[in-house]
Amino acid sequence: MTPIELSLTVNGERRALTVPPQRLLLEMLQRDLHLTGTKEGCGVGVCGACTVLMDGRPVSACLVLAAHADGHEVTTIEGLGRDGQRHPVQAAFLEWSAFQCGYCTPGMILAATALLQEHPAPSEEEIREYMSGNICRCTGYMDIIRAIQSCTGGAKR
Amino acid sequence: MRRFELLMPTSLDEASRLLREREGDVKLIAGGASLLILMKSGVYQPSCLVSLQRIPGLADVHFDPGEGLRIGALTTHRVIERSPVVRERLPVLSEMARMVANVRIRNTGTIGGNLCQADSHADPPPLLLALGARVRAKGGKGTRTIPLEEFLLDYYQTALQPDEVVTEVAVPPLPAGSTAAYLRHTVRSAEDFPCIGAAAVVEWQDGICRQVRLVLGGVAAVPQRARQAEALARGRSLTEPLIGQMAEAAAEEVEPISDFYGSAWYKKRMAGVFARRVLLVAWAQRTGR
Repeated sequence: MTPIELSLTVNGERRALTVPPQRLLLEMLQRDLHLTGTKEGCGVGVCGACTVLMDGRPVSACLVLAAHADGHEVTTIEGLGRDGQRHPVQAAFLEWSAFQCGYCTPGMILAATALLQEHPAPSEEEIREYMSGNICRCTGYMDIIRAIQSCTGGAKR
Repeated sequence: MRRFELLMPTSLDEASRLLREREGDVKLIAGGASLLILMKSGVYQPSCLVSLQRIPGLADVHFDPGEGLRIGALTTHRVIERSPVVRERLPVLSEMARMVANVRIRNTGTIGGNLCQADSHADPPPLLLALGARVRAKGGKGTRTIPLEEFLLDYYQTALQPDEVVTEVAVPPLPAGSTAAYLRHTVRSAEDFPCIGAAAVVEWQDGICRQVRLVLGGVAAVPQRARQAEALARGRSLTEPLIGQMAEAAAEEVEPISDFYGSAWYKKRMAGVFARRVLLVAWAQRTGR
């Protein structure tokens, strides 16, 4: 099988890779780039644990061919903070203890970041709708919603 | 996932030629949101994929006065959901797109891929069928336009020839004075495929229902026109009792099979419930209630 050559930007860095055709974006991040913050959950696009941003838009890295990320800009949880500073959504999740086991957290934070970029002041209903594709099996949803609301000045401790 | 070869043509002609050369064990991949699930589960394992991602010009959305909305095959559900031209010309299409799966899948899954997958429980087919959409495909013998009713043949089967590539979906403008609605009934979680999808397009004239197209998804291999229900309303003014009769007729004329989303008994009843609800919505849009 002819390997695929691709060149993309991951967390602000240009990367050139050669991968087997069946390589998924999730596998490429974990195995080839050693970015293990992106988690695999269901593997079929339902749970949201593998959420990454492609050109700023959330996608399921488990259902995107690595080859289809060619020429695009991918952001993972490792690339969200800048200069050693946490991204405001990361800080809000800490502040609100918006995680228990933490497995869904990278995906939750990236989805929330995309939501706030699209929509700087979402209502609670809009937050719930947008985040409905990210599942937390510890069922810590209330604190996740509050953390997102706090980024818009909505929820206060 | 089983290993496969991945070819990335840069033109439609090249894609069509590759399909012809590899006839049989080859599949087109658009976004991959649905196809990769089938491949990961081992249900379908082609030895070669032809990707459309490097072919330019397949993701445009624009309005053409003659043909209506022309939506490129690689347009994602999310782009349809948010497109100003779709929202202006056919808001019901944007509202339906918003119901598809979750935001991540909508960012990856494409309208062309969705129609070619021909999943009997997908959201777009019933509404697009009610709207009279047509599929344009290009192959070795040129370009042809296929009404969606003739494009969707059976479970996971379309009328495409082996070397044809869907290039766009054309959705005609609603006739003046029409209203349209789409509703879905999910039985598990919000991002799931619907158990039942129900679409209604009603053409009004002086308060009278001139024509109605009522289409139910999830009840058969391909979306079903509820023609007996439609006939009940033609030339009459809609009332709640008449909509009730139409819903009963619609439930009567579909023959769902039991599957993942419910038993045949349950789906038949839900087909009636959602036929009624979608007609009430299309009716309320006209009266402004």
